[in-house]
Amino acid sequence: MQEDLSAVLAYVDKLNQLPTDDLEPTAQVGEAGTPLREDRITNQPETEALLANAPDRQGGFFRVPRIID
Amino acid sequence: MASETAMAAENYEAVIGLEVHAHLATQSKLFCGCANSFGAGPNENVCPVCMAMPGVLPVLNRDAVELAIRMGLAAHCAIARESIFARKSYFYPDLPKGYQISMYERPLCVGGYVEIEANGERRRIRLVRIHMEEDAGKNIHEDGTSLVDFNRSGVPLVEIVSEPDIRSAAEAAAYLRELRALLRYTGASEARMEEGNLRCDVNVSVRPRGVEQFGTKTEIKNLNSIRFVEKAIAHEVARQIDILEAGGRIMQETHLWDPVREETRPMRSKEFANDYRYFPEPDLPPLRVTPEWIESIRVALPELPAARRERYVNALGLSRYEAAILTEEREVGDYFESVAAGLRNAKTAANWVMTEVLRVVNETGKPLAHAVPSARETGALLAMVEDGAISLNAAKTAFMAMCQSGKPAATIVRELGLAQVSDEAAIAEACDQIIETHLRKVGEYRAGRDKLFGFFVGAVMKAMGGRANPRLVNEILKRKLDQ
Amino acid sequence: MIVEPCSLTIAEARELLDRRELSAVELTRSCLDRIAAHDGRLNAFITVCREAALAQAAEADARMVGGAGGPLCGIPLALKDIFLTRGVRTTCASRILDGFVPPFDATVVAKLRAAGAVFLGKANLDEFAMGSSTENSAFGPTRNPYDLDRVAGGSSGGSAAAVAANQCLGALGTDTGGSIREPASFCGVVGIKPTYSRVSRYGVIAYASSLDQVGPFARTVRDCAVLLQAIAGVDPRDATCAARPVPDYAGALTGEIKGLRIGVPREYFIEGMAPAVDGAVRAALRQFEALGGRLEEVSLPHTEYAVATYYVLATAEASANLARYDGIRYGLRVAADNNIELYERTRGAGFGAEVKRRIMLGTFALSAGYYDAYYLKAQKVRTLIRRDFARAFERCDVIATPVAPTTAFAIGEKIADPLQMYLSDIFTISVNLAGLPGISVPCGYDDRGLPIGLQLIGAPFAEETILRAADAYERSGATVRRPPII
Repeated sequence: MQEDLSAVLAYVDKLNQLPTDDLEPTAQVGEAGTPLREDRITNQPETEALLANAPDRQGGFFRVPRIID
Repeated sequence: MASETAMAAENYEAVIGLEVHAHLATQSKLFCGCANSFGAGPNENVCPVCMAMPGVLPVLNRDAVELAIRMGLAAHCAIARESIFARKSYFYPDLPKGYQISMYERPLCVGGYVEIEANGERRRIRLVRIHMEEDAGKNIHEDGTSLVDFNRSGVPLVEIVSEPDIRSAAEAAAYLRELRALLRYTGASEARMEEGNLRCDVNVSVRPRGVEQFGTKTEIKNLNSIRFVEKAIAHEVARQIDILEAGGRIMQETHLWDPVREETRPMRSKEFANDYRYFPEPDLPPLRVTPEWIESIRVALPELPAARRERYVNALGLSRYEAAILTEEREVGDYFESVAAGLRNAKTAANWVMTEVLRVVNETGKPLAHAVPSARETGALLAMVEDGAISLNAAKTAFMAMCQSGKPAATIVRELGLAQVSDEAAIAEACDQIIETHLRKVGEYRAGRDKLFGFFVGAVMKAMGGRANPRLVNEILKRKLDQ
Repeated sequence: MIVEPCSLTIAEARELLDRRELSAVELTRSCLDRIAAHDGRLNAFITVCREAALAQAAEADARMVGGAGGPLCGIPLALKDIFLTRGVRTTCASRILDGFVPPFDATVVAKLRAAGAVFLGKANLDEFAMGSSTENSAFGPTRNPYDLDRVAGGSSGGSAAAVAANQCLGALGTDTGGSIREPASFCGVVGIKPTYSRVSRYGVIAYASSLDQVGPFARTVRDCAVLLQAIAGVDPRDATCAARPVPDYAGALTGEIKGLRIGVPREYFIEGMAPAVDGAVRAALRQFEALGGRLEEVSLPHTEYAVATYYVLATAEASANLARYDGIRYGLRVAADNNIELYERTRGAGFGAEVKRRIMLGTFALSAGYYDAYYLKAQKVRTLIRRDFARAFERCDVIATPVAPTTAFAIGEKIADPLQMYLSDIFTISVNLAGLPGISVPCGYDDRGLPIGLQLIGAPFAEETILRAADAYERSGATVRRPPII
């Protein structure tokens, strides 16, 4: 794993050959269709359906080992 | 030793910055159509999006943006034409995506300031920024396990970051009160710390007076009342001064406030990563806000606390202190103005609201609109006092009865027989009677025993069943006695 | 029936269904039988939904009788197991989603369901769509229907193989760096990756958010156009999905390409390409000329940086997208005393090696001190790559390239060397970085009978143009589809 990662990182370093100082980065392509949505409640409670896949649950909660702060 | 601590404290300056998170008062969550409300059973206000099932995507709530902009304008921030959401990655069981959608390099609001008054001094506390982000879920701890509820996951927040301009616990409290007022006046948030929709983290450091360089800061989390913020700051400042005086170094740590012991302790958890690996959120387009939209929000802003305070002082003749009390909550100021509208003297309304009204509100714990009579009825009651139809004391009695019964002022005054006698002839007659009955005392008074005046006033009041207009009694008695 | 219903095209099946000469149930049964007979070896499917498919087919028949059928009513399809399907386990070919049964459909699945399509089952893929061979699946590799010792390509290998092997009439896949086009090429079927944002990503398990795109596989270009029509369009649940109206893709297949300017990028015809691939692609270009197209040499000078750019950006986005798999709300959980252990052990056991590799790479690229040199840098190179295409499209209408440097390689041949595997994406990856539409259409076979694909790349939202060009080529008969060996 270590070797594979090193090989890929070494390969990826070739990006540094390119001068890019004045360029804007491209974070997204395509066209956005729904930048904002109306502030309305459109969801009904569906606790059981959402908890159905829980590996561990207690009543309506997901259960995990004790969190220590 | 207390005196040593005090002396040491003189040599140091506290440098404090606050990070405040407030829940935005939207109907639905920030990125999904789940209800943004309290009191539901565990995982009832949850959907695949806010519990991060595979394949889900966020879509931004327009009203959340509008409320955030309102707050930004109220705090004199510059509103960015284009701002960018970013992923902030860390692992915690109540953070379902393993990252929080927040803002990083390009926040919605930049700069800004808030004006406060503390220790008799007025200061401007500058803001760094205000940005939008989603809240995480909640954990409940039981023996050996923790239970996770995602009702709060995805609730919209604004994060308001101040510059480290605050210099004392009192200033921090004043700053928080002003922020809270702005959030409520604009309708952006209900901002109730006790209910958890206003949270405050504090960054505290100290430095020797005169030194420009900042000291190492500690962060204090888990503060859920303004009182605790003040205590925590005072405690931490003292702790840091002690360490420095002893020749030690401050460690950059995060502390939790323990409200039971009223002290801070370092967080043991390593579950908070230091490197959040921020990058622009690819699932959301940049947030574009037009000047037209900003302007429409600006013109719809209500009168804000600072402007209202100025107006109360300059136009209505109230003191700064009175103005401060009456502007803490928008409804209180609104109520006061409605009451004052029908009166000759705004001060009458001011005093009444500050004493009787707020007392009832605080005692009953109900919202203003439910706790006391309408502003119109209260105004009517006070108009009666101004006109001399009832005494101030009678008004207090009437007011309590109005609170209980909900009946209008005139009805209560009539039912309880509180009408004050302002008939000068009747008062004159009563005075004459008292004078005739106490001729020896009258003689003593006229000979110089001024203190007896009170006796006569009391006697006349008693004779008239307590319902005589005290001012008139005083006037008429004085006239008769001084003859 | 002389021809097995399962080997009909969608267009052919539509005619027979509409004339009631074939029922949807018969058609679905034919596919299910073929799956039962061959998928033990082919391994195109992770889950087969026999009962549910027959029920959908019966409903489709009822709809058609009532006159309410549409272009896809009763048509049996395979869905890459990356699409959430309500009530049907969805694995993403990973152990970490063990037991996960989604309570909702992906938007594209809901659209197809509403159109009356039949879902035969969930097709195999590289785990979390990370791979080019479908060898990274927790459920074993999918084999190539033209040579069972060779890969079907990836990551949508199951979808491509199922279509090629006549187990279904069409399929859905996803493409992040070539994952539709490359398996389409290796399996000799048509596959299209639409313009980024043309199709909703809601309910599609995310790999790299700014690169992932959903697209169809079919045995003809026209069939692909019909499928694309059904899934494209705005979705209020996906903020990045375009609101632009969806044109009539099938209607654009006029067969006419006279005057079409076909850009041929010099950087794509390199040493290291298999001679058969080079030969087949050049022959296809000559055919385009014969059909009235005009070849133009263009240059995409930053092509050599595309793979590196991709493997920084895609892995970075993936490292965050896969952070939600923590054993708490769904999927695998490995027992632990505290939450950090729970997280680490679950992911250690649940993720395969390639997924782990990419998460580590991506985490590194975003980490403090490296963000500028890797992530930000890659985003800037992405700008250069986009510009290359924009400039090229000033001089041509479509760009024609090979899809992969080779035909299907042997199972196990490249898996030991990830970098080698990554480099085989060289011709497809730039298209995702630029967000452009790209189609792979069969253009020949090598001397082992392995299929070769031709890629046509279009300008943003120019699916009609590349469909038209691919359709004209297909109809010219220059390449005749050979039956698979199974």
